[in-house]
Amino acid sequence: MSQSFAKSSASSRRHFLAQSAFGVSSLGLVTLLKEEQLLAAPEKPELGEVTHDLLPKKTSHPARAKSMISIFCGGGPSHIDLFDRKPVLDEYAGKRFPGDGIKYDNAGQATSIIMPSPNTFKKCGESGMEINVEMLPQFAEIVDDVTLVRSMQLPNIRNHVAGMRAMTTGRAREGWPSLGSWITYGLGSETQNLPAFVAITIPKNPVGSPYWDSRQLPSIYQGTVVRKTDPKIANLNPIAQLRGKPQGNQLDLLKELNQIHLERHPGEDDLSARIASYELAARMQTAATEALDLSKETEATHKMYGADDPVTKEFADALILARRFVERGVRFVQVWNYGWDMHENIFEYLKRRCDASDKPSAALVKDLKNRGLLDSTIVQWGGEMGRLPVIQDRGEGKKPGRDHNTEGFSIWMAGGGLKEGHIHGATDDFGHRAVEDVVTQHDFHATLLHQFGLKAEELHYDHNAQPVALVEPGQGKVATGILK
Amino acid sequence: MLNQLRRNSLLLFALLVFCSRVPCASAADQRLTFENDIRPIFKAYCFHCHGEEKELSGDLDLRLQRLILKGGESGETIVPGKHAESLLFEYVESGDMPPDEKQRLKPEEVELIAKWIDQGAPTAGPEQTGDIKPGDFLITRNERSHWAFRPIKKSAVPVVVALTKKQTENEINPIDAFIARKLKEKGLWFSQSANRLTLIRRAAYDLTGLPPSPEELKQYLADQSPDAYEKMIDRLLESPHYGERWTRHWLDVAGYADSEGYNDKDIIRADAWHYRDYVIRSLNADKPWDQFIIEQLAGDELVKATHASAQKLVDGDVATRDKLTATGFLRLAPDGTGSSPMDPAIARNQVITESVKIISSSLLGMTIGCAECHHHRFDPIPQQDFYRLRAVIAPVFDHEKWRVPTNRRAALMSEADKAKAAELSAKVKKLDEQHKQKKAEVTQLIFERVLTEIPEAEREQAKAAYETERKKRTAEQAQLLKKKFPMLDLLSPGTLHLFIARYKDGNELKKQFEAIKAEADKIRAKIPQPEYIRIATEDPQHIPDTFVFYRGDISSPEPDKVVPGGLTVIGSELQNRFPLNNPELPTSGRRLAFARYLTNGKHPLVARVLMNRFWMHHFGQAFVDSTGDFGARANPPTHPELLDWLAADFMEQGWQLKRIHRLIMTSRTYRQTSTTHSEQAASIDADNRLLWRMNLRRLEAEAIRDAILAVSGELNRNPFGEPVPVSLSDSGIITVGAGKVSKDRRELKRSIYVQVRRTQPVTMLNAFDAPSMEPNCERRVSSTVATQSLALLNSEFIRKQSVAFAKRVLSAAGKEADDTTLIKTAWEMALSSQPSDTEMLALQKHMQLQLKEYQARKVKDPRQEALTSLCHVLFGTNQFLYVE
Repeated sequence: MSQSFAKSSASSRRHFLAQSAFGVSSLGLVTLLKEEQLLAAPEKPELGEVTHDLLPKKTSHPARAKSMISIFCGGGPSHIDLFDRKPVLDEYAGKRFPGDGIKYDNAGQATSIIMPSPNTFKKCGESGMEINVEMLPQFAEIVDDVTLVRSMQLPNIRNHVAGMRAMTTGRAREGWPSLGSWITYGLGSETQNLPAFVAITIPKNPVGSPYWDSRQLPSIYQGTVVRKTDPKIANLNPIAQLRGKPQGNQLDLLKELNQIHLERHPGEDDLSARIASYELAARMQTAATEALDLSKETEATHKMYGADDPVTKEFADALILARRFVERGVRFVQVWNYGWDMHENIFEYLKRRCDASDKPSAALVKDLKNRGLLDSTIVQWGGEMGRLPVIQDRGEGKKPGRDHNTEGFSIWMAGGGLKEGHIHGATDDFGHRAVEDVVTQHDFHATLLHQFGLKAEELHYDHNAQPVALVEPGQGKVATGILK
Repeated sequence: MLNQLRRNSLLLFALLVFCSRVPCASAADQRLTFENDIRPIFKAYCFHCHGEEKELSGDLDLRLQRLILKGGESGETIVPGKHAESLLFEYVESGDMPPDEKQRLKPEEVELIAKWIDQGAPTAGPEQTGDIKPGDFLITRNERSHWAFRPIKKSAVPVVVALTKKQTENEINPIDAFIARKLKEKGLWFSQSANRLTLIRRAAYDLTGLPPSPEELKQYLADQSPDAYEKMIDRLLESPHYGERWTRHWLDVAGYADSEGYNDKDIIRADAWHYRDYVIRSLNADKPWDQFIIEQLAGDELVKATHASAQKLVDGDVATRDKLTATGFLRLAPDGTGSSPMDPAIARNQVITESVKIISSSLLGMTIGCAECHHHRFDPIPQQDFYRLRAVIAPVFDHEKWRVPTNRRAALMSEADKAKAAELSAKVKKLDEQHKQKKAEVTQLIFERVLTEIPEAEREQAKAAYETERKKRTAEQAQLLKKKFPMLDLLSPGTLHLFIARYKDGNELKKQFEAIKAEADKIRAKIPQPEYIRIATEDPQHIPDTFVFYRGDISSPEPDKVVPGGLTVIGSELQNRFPLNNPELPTSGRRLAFARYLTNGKHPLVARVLMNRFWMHHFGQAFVDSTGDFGARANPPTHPELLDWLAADFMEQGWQLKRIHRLIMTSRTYRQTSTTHSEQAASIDADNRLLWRMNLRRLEAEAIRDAILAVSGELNRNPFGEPVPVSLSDSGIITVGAGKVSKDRRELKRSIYVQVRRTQPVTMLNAFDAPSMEPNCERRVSSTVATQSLALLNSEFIRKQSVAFAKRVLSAAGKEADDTTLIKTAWEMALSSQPSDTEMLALQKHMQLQLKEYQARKVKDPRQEALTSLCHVLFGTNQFLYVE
């Protein structure tokens, strides 16, 4: 791997320069500006301070995926009501759950009375994947493009923040780099004009700490937050007084002064890198502003995602934006939505959430496929938990809900070299616990890294002279069953 | 547990990660030895199962050549002279061993083993004799003689003829002599001295983290005496900003934060900053570092404080309080035990282990944390060493009688405040009693009224039931009230408000007692509240035992108690073990013994580690790059003799850092220009490891923010005090303060005073690589990315400071001043120099272009707006962001 565990003397870029035939200043620009051409990153010599950039990096093995859109459904969509039908629940309706080991988040409101799922499941597509078609009518149309993982499990985790952290950083504890940071650290970016890792938040930030933090990794691998309202990206646009010509003049002056300064310090590639980084910043302003401009999309596209309908608009806009980013070379897009934590009145709330998200989510897969992007893009949909088969009772007058279930839940993924129309793993008869081909967060991460051409055991970063990794050795295995 | 998993897999992980750094193959004809060539390979790949665990896998021990020759379960391991017939070779070559396929030996390592066997499997010298038990940790002579473990030796200052030509030997700065010798050896030589403007800017940033003030600049330039430079350095060393600058460096390695971390609650540590201020005061006073270290590790033991007596001592004199404040160092690790963690035992353990790691990376420069679960795979650090160090600090933390952060602090209050608090509290108490009394009276009144509503026949019965204490009521009484007279059942002073409304005079009745309460509350609000200091203290009544945790698992302690001590590899057992208890102290005395041992002038690591970092902060590169790891995997120092000379001199001369700054900064080495460009020098030493010129350095995040504020004139130079809070702004970034500048202008204080919230790093500082404290940062990275440029171009902070800067320029130069004067003034304020002619042309052109633009846009003051734009650009130039 190019991100070798090397530390020491001086800038490796300096080494690179010393060996290079190019002139210094032009090279600084070349290395930073070549975004279309995959400039192979220079092999980092053993003796070289590790410098960090977002240039594309070599993979360990051929990559099946180049980018990823993670539609994170925080709160825990009910797998047994959406993706994992359990006929046994009908038999046991109103009876006690016969098994043991249910762990409740809220024991006070817990019952052990089985609550069946709505009887609106149907086998869909050529694959015959059985899903709840009333809740997910649009998803029903893309099942043949999708791998449905019915055996997710987060060991020893019960609540949301720990679960969302586990799904994004591998650990329940706060303080570790996010999946998107790891992937951009390992692979760099295909574009130098846009942030490599983007987090789109709808409608509001998820509870808990930012899940797009780079933590121990250098800050360049941090996710850039894209918000619903302006400024969508912090510091992206000049203030009014500088918009247009004035900032252009400023950039000209900066370049001129920095060039004069550089002439006094020939061979200092850091200085030329900064000159280039101003040009990048300027281009990023244009590129990101363009990427954020949804008016460039056709009416048909808006309609396809449901941007014309107030019910689906929020989701639709976010996912169109996600697609635009991926199209433009962004490595990792996280779309955050929270609101799947249904402790009461679950069927009504579930319908509402599905109504808002089903059409846009399915449209995203179709759209990527139509544009030939699905092969190289992994779309992932799901949360940090599922829900229990038993009733959670919040008291008189409250309709029943379901409590947390991290022992078994479902997520779906499409594209990026994953199987199509495939179901992976299974939970027990009651949908309580994953029992077949269990996929933990570590397996999930190892599998994703694998599709990106990275080896989990090789991807690490030296922090305080000690290695930090997303997946630690022996912790996660690639779920080969879902790979094409 | 996840945590557990993490720990268990850590050493396996280390194996994978570091395998690429195992010594490389020797030349073909070289004579190989077990100790030098083969053992490091086996240690990295095999010892785990074959020697360092109590269970010996396959009955085969690979730790010594004689044990290898003895063979194992499968018989003969090697046949000296014949690698092809050796089982060991077969196994490693085929990849059967090690069993984990991710840990295959590299071909060159396999080859080395073959060669060694063919050469007859020789050793370098006689091997350790006697019975060696599996699981014992063997340290070889080679390991003991690793440069970092050897005593610090002050060798004679070299005589370099090229230097003595111009100066007498006494005049030569020893640093220059050491540097010159190496340069000479490589056919290199010093660059010329930088000009005065460059030197003062360099010195000011190095020592104060701020640009030189115009007055300082003027004074230095006007001083034509031969020691003008030295005097300037002395003035900067006396600046109160010196301590702020160098405290930042120390807080990085100490892991300072204003929040507890650990989980997403990331509770605010409102009491950490007194420790930060203690460090600033200590550094400004040039407190000797031996004392500084002793205070931080054992300030409580210095003043004979215990958990019980600490508050009283803090109330006493300032010097004592200071010593206790210093122990805040031991309280810097993330501590989630006050935030209802999922698993409290693990949360507690985490605090202790992270503290061990902070001590080891900040003071010892060794990755002792690696030995939490197992013997270190590369360095001679047995697992016991981690726990010996843990035993040193264990009495403070005491995992058996844990105290959450709020129970590990002492209140700070002046005598006057205390007296006032006592006085007001007494008043409040009295009023509270009156209030209670009055309320009871009103309740009684209401009771009597309710009673009249009850038929006379039942009154007595109801009265008796009501007047019986609720708990003492008979079942009949309780039933009676509940069923028949629910009003009486309900009535109590606590439910009085429900009854008041029923009566016409209710409001008046209410006023009778509410008025008293209002008065009490008013006084209550005036009771002075204490500030707190975070302290580390021991409870002598309870000193916990320390055990090695098998694989780091807190539920698997091994049977033998661990004695507190330093690293085994350093010195003999006697020198680095401390008694469990010092009878002369009320506490265990372990930390005081440890701190004195570290600072006794003989410890090989401490002074080297400190000096290495001091040097780095002056030159942008250290002698040893891995500033927190001086172990086997570290590159050896670029100038070992100089590092030792400085470390020895530092200790001999009283551990005073300001003297070292003076020594370094008055050297020719330091005064070199950074602008030399020599093809020849670059071809010999492209990385400037030998210092044939000065390095160009980018300012750190805090220095950039502080410098911008200083140049704009907005910097609030008030030292010390509560951290300035940070907040998430409307535009989605984390800023200092909450948008507006407060009356006391605290948002404009230096960055050292800005709250360090682990989960909320200030966006501007974060962009320029301010570290996240997990748990500390032994060395910063320096990146150059577009987000930095975006912040410099578009952030609100920059805009505001540019506006202020332009105003400052206008008021200094006068509104009537021409463009050239304005530009010169701005340039000098920002860059402490004069623009060249070409620079001036570019700047003038910019002024004109922007003026035209703003005139066309009809803004209020086009000229000022144009100047603001120019000032803005100056903040973004490399000249501003880098120190030459």
